[in-house]
This record gives sequence, C-alpha cells and structure tokens, in this order.
Amino acid sequence: MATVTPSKPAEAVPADVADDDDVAPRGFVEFLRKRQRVLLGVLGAVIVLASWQICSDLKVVNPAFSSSPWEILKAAKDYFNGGDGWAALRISAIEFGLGFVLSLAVGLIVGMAMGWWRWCEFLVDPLVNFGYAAPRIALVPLLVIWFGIGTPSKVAVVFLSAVFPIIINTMSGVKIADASLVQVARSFKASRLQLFRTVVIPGAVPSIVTGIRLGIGQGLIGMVVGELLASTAGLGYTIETAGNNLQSATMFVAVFLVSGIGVLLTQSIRVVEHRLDRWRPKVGG
Amino acid sequence: MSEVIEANHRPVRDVSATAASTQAGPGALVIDHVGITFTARRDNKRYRAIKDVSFTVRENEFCCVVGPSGCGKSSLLLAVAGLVPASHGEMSFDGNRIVSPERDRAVVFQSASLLPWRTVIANVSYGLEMMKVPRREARERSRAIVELVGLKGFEGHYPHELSGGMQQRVNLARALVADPQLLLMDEPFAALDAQTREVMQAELLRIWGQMRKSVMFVTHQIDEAVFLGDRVIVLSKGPGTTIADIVEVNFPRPRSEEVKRTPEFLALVDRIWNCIRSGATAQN
Ligand SMILES: Nc1ncnc2c1ncn2[C@@H]1O[C@H](COP(=O)(O)OP(=O)(O)OP(=O)(O)O)[C@@H](O)[C@H]1O
Ligand SMILES: [Mg+2]
Repeated sequence: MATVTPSKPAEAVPADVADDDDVAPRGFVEFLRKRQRVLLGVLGAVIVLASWQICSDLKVVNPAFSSSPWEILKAAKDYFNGGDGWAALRISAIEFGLGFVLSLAVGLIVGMAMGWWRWCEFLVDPLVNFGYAAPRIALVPLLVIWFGIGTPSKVAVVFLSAVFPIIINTMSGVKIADASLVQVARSFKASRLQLFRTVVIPGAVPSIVTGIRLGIGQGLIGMVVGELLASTAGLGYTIETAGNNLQSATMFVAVFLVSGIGVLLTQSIRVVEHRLDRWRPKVGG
Repeated sequence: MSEVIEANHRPVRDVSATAASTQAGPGALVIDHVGITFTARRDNKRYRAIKDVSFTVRENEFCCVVGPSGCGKSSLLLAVAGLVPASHGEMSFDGNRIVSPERDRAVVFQSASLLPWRTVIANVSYGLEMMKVPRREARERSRAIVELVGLKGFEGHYPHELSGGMQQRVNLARALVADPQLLLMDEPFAALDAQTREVMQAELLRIWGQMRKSVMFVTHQIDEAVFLGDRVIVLSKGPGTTIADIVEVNFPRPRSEEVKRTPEFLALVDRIWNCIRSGATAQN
C-alpha cells in the first residue's frame, strides 16, 4: 500500500500576481481618468463659484445681499488682518473641542456599557432615546441661564448635540459582536476584558466611527446655533452680527470656515477609518 | 434501539466520573450518559439536542463521530469543549470533570471563525495571547505551527485573502498552537470542495502523525470518518440522539487514498450507513 504521509506539508501556493501591464495607465486620457474624482470635484466647485461671480458682476442678483467670491476673499483678509477673525476661530475651536472631547469620552463609555450589560441598556435606553429625540438646540436659552453666556454654555450645547449619536452607534456596534467569534474567545479561556478587547471592540469600530462622524456634524451645528442664539464671540457670533449689519461677505467667510472645519474633521476621520479597516475585503477589487 | 453491533456501554452509571476515567486510563475523554437541552428564547420551551450518549476517547486516539445533520454533533462537541453545559450525565477529561473551557482542549470550529481583523500569524497566536505568553515566544511558536500546516509565506495575509482550505488550515493551526491534549474538530472540511477536502484529510493525518494528540472529529460524512478514525461512533438521527454503534477501524497507518477503494473500507461504510438508516426507521 502506497503511503501519502509526506513529512513536508503540501504548501499552499500564492495566487498569481496580476500582470502590471493590464492596469497601468497609458497616455493623458488615462492620467485624467485616474484622477477624475479630484478633477471633477474641483471642476464642480469652480463652475459654481464662477457663475456666482458672474451673476454678481452683471448685477443679476443684488451684490449687497448675495456678495461674490471675490468680495468674500477680501472680507476674509480684513477679518483676519485687524478684524476679530483669529479670536472668533479660537473661541469656537475651544468650545467645539471641549464639548466634542467630552461627548466622545462620555459617549464611548456609556455606549459600550449599554452594549455590554443588558441591565445597563435597559436602565439608560429610555433616557438616551428621549434625549436623542428632544430638540436639544431649544435648550440653549436654558443652558445660558445655567452656564452663562460665555464658553461653558456652548461647550454644553456641543456636548448635548454630539453625545447621543456617539452613544447610540457605539452601543449597537458592541451589541452586534459576532457570536461565533465570541465562542472562539471563550474556547481559549479569554477573560471578559480580553474578549472585549480582542473581539467586541474591533468588531464595533465601523459603527463607532459612524457615530463619531455624525457627532462631529451635530456638534458643529450645535456650536454655531448656540453662538447665533446667545454669545459674545465666535464664528456663530460673527455670522449673527455680520448678518445684522448687512455684511454678507463677512457672514459667508464665517459660514465657509465652519464648513471647512467640518470637512477637515470628517476627512481626518476617514483617514483613521481607512487605517483601521485594512483587513476588510475591498468590494470590486 | 435497533442493531447495536458492538455496544460499548460500560456499567458506570453509578460510578463517579473520576472513577470512570481512571478506568479508561489517563488522558482519556469519558462521556457518560450525557444529554443536552437548549432553552429556546422564542417560546421558553426546552429542546433536546442530545438524549443519551456514552463513549470514551482514549489517549492519542483518533475518534470520529458521525450522525445525520441536526442530530446534535456540534452540541455534543461544544459540551465537551465546556462551552455548552450538559443537562445530565457526566463528562471528564484526563480525570477532571468538564465544567468550562480548559487549555488542555482546543476546538477547530465548523466555520473557520477567524478574526477578520487579524493576520494569519496573529490569528494563530490568539490562544497564546490569551494565556499571556510573552509576545516573542508566541510569535515564534505560531510561526512554527503556521509552517507545520503549510502556510509559510502567508503569515501577513488577512483571512479574506485566503481560500476556504487555507482558512481551515489557519483554524487548525490556531487550535494546535497552545499544544492541547485533545483536539475537538467540528466538520472542519464540510464546506470545502471534494479535492480540497481530500488534500486536507491527508494533511490532517500527516500533522496528527507528527503531534500525536487525542482527536474527537465530528462529521456527517461516513467515508471521511472511516478514512481518518481509529474508531467511529455513530449517532442516530435527532432530536434526542442516542448512540447507535461503535465501530473499530483497523486499517494500518499511514493510510493512503487507495484505502477508500478497498472492499473492507466500502463494507465498513455500508455497515455504518445501514446502522444510521435502521436507527432512523426505528424512530419514525
Ligand atoms: N444554541 C442553541 N439554542 C437552541 N437550540 C440549539 C442551539 N444549538 C443547537 N440547537 C439545536 O440542537 C439541535 C442539534 O444541533 P447541532 O448543531 O448540534 O446539530 P449537528 O449534528 O451539528 O448538525 P449539522 O450536521 O447540520 O452541523 C438542532 O435541532 C438545533 O436547532
Ligand atoms: Mg454541526
């Protein structure tokens, strides 16, 4: 009887490396195609800005109300040279930063606790649902009474705006832990902490990142609206005062600054997410 | 119960598990009149997955358990692993009652169940990490096992970059890395195509030949059980499974594919088939 007991393992073979010629770009058209995402994005923005400028120059719309990209650039220069641009940016950054870090800390801890312990979910879930459904922006006047018109009340608004999306998404991420992977961990006698660290948290990352992304958006809105309603400084305050004084260009500067910060933060989250998600199969190669 | 060809029910009903296992020798797995029930969340009723199963896996023995789909094989294996409690009966391994997972037993799960965010090497070293083995030692031992299962060169790959057969190799390596005494394998090759399955069977025998562990190998494929095992335990159709038969397999090792075409092999497969069939008709 012949034996098939080789002492050497039957090595698995790596898949063929795809021939690079198949995918390498050729010529200018290929160069454009590879960058079409960025190029088309820039093109879209340029078209909108150019039409805005032209409408304003031809007085199709009243330039005093609608301003123009050029006016806005000039206003931005004044805002930061001699105006209170830097001060406003600093105040808003502090308000948002403090409020968001606070909501991140509380949101992650509460969300994980709710996902991990059922009794904790039962205990806190009604409150979270209520808080999430409530019009939190409407609490601003109350918060001003409690914390004063300065920074603390805005921190509170940002916190209240950002914390609920983070709680809810973190909780659901922890709850969907893959039962078969939990069983694997248990079969290796993993402690509760090890199970949490090696199975539950990595599985919850996509959901947590979604919560953080939503939290950033909600927090920025909270910051601006809080400053609009009651404040003495900040980007929202600039929007409010410039609007009252018919300085539409300055108003747009502040609006664009807020949007820019939002885009920047969301993009950096995307970079982090990309790094954490290297293990995930890419759909469509 | 019909046609019990080689009953092996030792009269140990009233003896403690420890006594039973000393009788079976050290390093033996003793399953003594075990039953398993689940309480369904849906209606809070108790469903029986295993009714009454008794058998012993001796030290260094390759023991296969066959039975039709849904008869409770996985449940039994998880109970032996200590992941699911038995509702009655006794189980012991190496003289110790089985109450929870221990490091002397390792499971090769039915679906590979690899941690998708870990590379091959990090998946394999998972068990050592849980034991708090120093990182460098863990990596070294894992590397050796990865090589043993034939995945050298794939240490840095993520599970989704591997074929089904390679994933099962990782699954096996992960169980082997902490050097358990008893390997519990739950249909590890069921999801593979026929050729890959044959390769993996040969690979498993090669690895088992090098490491010499007790194995409880669950499958619903009778030819696989006869090809791999020293003995085959036959479970009847569920629900409420009883042990139907225990068959000694005496083909010499190392075994080759040709064994599967010998009349003795086919006769044995046939005998087990009949046993399952008659067990089923007797119940219906
Ligand atoms: N966690 C559970 N909760 C409730 N019922 C369960 C649970 N696990 C298994 N069962 C039930 O126990 C019975 C046996 O299941 P088990 O998975 O052990 O069968 P099996 O022999 O491994 O089947 P297969 O060959 O298809 O893998 C089934 O009826 C199943 O519905
Ligand atoms: Mg099963």
